[in-house]
Amino acid sequence: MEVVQIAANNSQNNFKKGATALIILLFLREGDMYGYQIAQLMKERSDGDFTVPEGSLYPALYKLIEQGFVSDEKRQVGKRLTRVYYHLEDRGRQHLEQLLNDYYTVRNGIDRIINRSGGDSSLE
Amino acid sequence: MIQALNNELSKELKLYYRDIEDSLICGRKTRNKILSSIRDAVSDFISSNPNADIMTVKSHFGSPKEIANQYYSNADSDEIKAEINIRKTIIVCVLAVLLITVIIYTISMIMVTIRGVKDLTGYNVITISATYQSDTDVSNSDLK
Repeated sequence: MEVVQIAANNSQNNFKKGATALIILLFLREGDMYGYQIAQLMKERSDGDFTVPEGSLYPALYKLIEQGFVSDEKRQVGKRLTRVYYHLEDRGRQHLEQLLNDYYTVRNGIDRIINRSGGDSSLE
Repeated sequence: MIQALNNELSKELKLYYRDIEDSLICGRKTRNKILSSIRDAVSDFISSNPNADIMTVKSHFGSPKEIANQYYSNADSDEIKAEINIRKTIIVCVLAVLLITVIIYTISMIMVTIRGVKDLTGYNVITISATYQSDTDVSNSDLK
């Protein structure tokens, strides 16, 4: 049972890793945000089912910056504190559209496969 | 901001950052950039949660392994391969230099030993010749 649980957690983590960039871009479409905000929004909007440690967001954000989809800007908050805000660039918007298309295509494909293969009785 | 934190947490954070650094197999620039973002975010988090300890920070930001896994899931496999190859090359170079140093040192020690053996004069044979004088000879010579 323990092994099954570990395998389930690993598969969930793999799905999350793949979807993190898509979700970050989706949130940034609403406006500039900083890391903590993105992590909190993920938690809130998924009702706690899609939580990513804040630290894990930064490698994904760095990759998006490197690819030119997102830009970052340090802003002074209070006297000594600086906060890095992330901004969605035009290229990022186009990439988001592409990612959403890819996601729906793959998701629909997987749904069809599951349905035509007997589906998951525990979820029905 | 780090200066404002208490010493113990500051030490533990240093170790945490070092673990993240060690887990990330990527270029220095990428690593520094990711670490810098995490450091800023941790400072921000601690200023909002002054009673936070290292366990709270780790559970909020994730383990170094989780952070590294996220990086690898987004990174290009060729990029990771290139970085691993660079690391391998550096390790091989360092080992080669060490090996050459050990060989040179060993050879020089052998040469010194051989030279030392050659320079040895060996041994000198000292002949001690004793002349026997009888008691009568001694007394006669005294009389003279």
